[in-house]
Amino acid sequence: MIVRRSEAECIVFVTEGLLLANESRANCGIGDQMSAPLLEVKNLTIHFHLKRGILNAVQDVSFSIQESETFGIVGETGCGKTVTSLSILRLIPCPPGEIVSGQILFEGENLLEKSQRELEKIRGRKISMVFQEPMTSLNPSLTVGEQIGECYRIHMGHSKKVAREFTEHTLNLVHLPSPKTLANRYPHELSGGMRQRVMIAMGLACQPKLLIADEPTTALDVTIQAQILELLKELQAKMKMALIFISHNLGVVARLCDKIGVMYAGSLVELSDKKSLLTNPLHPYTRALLNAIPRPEMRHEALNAIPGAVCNLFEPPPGCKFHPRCSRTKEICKTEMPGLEPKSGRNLAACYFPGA
Amino acid sequence: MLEVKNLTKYFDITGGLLSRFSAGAKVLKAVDHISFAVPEGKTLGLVGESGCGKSTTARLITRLIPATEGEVSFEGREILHLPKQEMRELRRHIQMIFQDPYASLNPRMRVIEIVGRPLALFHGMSGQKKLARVTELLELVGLSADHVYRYPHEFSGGQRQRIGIARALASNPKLIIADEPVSSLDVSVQAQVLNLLKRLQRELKLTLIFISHDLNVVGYLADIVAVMYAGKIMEIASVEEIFNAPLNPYTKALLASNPTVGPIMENIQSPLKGEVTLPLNPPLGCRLESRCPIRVDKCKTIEPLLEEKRALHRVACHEV
Repeated sequence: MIVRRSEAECIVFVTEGLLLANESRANCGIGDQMSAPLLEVKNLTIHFHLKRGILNAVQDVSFSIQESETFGIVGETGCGKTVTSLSILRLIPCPPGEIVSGQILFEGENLLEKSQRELEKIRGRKISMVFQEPMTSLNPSLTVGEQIGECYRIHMGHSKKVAREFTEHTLNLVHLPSPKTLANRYPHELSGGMRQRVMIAMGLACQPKLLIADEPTTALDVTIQAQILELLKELQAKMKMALIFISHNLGVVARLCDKIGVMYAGSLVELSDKKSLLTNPLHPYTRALLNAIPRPEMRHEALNAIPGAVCNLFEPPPGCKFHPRCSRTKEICKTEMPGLEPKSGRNLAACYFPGA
Repeated sequence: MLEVKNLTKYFDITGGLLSRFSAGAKVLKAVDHISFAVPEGKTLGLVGESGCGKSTTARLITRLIPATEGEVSFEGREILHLPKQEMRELRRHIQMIFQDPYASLNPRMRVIEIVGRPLALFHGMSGQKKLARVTELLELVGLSADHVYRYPHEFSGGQRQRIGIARALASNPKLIIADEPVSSLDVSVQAQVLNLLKRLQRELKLTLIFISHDLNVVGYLADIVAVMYAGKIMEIASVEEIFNAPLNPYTKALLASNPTVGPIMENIQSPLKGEVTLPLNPPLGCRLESRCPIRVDKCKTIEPLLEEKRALHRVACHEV
């Protein structure tokens, strides 16, 4: 079955009480059969050429996302999760960055072969992004309304007046109070949670098929974080868009995503559905990460900290990159890098000795 | 060991001269009449969201900023009004570990100078004696003797935090106040530092005040937990009581918002609407009133007092 984008869009807006009938888009809805994945990242490898040498930021990462699927990427500082997400929109500064190999297929087309002009039509239109720190990613000299309205004017060619109407509607969608007055305020007048709502409104403005959220709640307080997670979940279901959610916090990712990928030192080491990842992790790193999270009921025992530190990404060790810190290292782990392969049902892990 | 009574800090944040006359004075009640006690050898966890006054409390106890009102007694001695010289003597018993391991170590000093400074100041150590003690301290926190002559930039975040801990331990303190010591660290490194703190506390019989916004961390480390909101303590009880039988609606909301990986949560629920209340010219009644799911009329006008509702479990709420 072929679902036309504009139809789905109309449905959403009709339920919201606003008509978007004049909106027509000829260039989409052609290749998006239900079976083909919306986004497919294949063997992506990214290097950064720095003074100290070549930094292997991302190595041979592959995953795919179906339409309206939620996918979480978890990992510690420097594991390559942000670089991976930025590369999807080709936002890696090149140089010093270089996408050495791989493909990023969005609706069957390789984003790495697109010209800047073509990319501009995709960014914010079909794929959009919500960043971690809303204060630095919003323009401080433009009002909220002007910034969100820009999406409608540039991508959809609406007039200022129509854009304004849509903007107020979108602000309403992210549950911001009194959109009319809010649209005239500047980012510094808003609280952190409100700013992140504005960022989300901007990301959703053109009803993208894929929203990439890079640590959107890290800078927020827990009660506000819970609100934002709830909002993202609600909107994702309502708009049927796919979501890539990146966080260092496994608990946060588990609240939102059905499928979770775990990254370590630039590689995807495990890709499982939420339930099996949390209850029966395949990769020793995932297991170690879960055990390292402090819990009140564990207060009488020592935490299972992972010994050592993350490997040097300028000269990663041969074989599995986790082997110096792993408890089941055997000879083969030190020489040959394991590939990401199915180990249990549809769950993948890059490990020679997976499971419990 | 440590007893805090009605500790209060108001910041006057009235702008320039003009606003002083026109809009009236603005007072930020950062910490507002809080009282608690920490028994010897125990850990008090202070939790709350940003702006709730937890760091200010730490700074008040260590006298890094002057208090507006209240009393802090350490081993039975009132310390807020001690003369400078006596306070300096007392500081060896109360040490702090700071949040940001990058900002709290002087980049121009070597480890021996950083960790050795309290030794020189409080114990008059120098030369070989100081070096031996610094090495001993470094080994205690899991670093090695060859780290002695390095500069802070040569260490990772977790290692720097260990240096900060070694410095705090140098003067053989009785009380350590740790202000978000692990919040800038990754989970795997965070676990290492938490284990270290727990082991040190047991071995050295330290009393600890542990400040964090992360309920998981506090639940793991603390014996007693105080939950703060907008300058007030909302609930204080043993860690088991707080986690298994919380009474205050704010504590319940915090627990519900806390992202855990234990039991899989199918529904995200955020029982608290609206923004975190700033204690800036706060309302007459309960600070949580505008966000509270169980508020009643009197919450608006009468401030709830922190009262013992169960044995050793004090709560500030009218509806409990």
